[in-house]
Amino acid sequence: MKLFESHRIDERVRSNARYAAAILLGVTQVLLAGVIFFRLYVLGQPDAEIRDFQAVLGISIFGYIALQLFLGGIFPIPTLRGALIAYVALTGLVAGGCILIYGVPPIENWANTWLPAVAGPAILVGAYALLARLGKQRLEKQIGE
Amino acid sequence: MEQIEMENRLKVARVARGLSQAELAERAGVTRQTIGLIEAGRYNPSLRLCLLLAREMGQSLDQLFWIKGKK
Repeated sequence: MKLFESHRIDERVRSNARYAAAILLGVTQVLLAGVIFFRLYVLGQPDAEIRDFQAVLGISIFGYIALQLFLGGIFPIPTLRGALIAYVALTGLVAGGCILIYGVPPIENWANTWLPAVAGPAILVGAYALLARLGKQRLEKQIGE
Repeated sequence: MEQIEMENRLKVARVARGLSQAELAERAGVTRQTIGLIEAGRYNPSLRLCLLLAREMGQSLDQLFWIKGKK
């Protein structure tokens, strides 16, 4: 006895699935950010209690951007000079903003203050340059085949 | 990028061949709904599917699909 009509996964179904996944990814990220803000600023929970949420959100957002950079293969690869300028500007923005808000941090607390402000932008700029280069290489290899 | 709309005469070709939507869907390996949406101009198929459908209809690609206003 046939209980269901036979179904087939075709290109339209797959395309709809990708569309739904992209929308739900965005919704999930926004909701997770909302949960983090609610717990931090409404419930007043300490930072340490929401590290897992922050990690999941960070992986989701940066993973998405990284995958887009890699699969797209069309993002401009920065020159060394361009990367340095981007790094200095980003570090200045992060460090300057934090100093304006919190004041100059004590040097003994460097691991939680200066290090993230200096290393964070370096990781971001480096990861961008690497992914853009790898993505372009991958695409050029496919075109060459 | 310019947005282009596609038109097709899939329904005319299918009916002329005496096929139902379900039969054509079976031959092309897609769902009946996809065939219905293509015929209604609500879904733009991939080039691969266009070629498959053209083959099943015994017509060339440009006989079956064209850009709106260009035929």
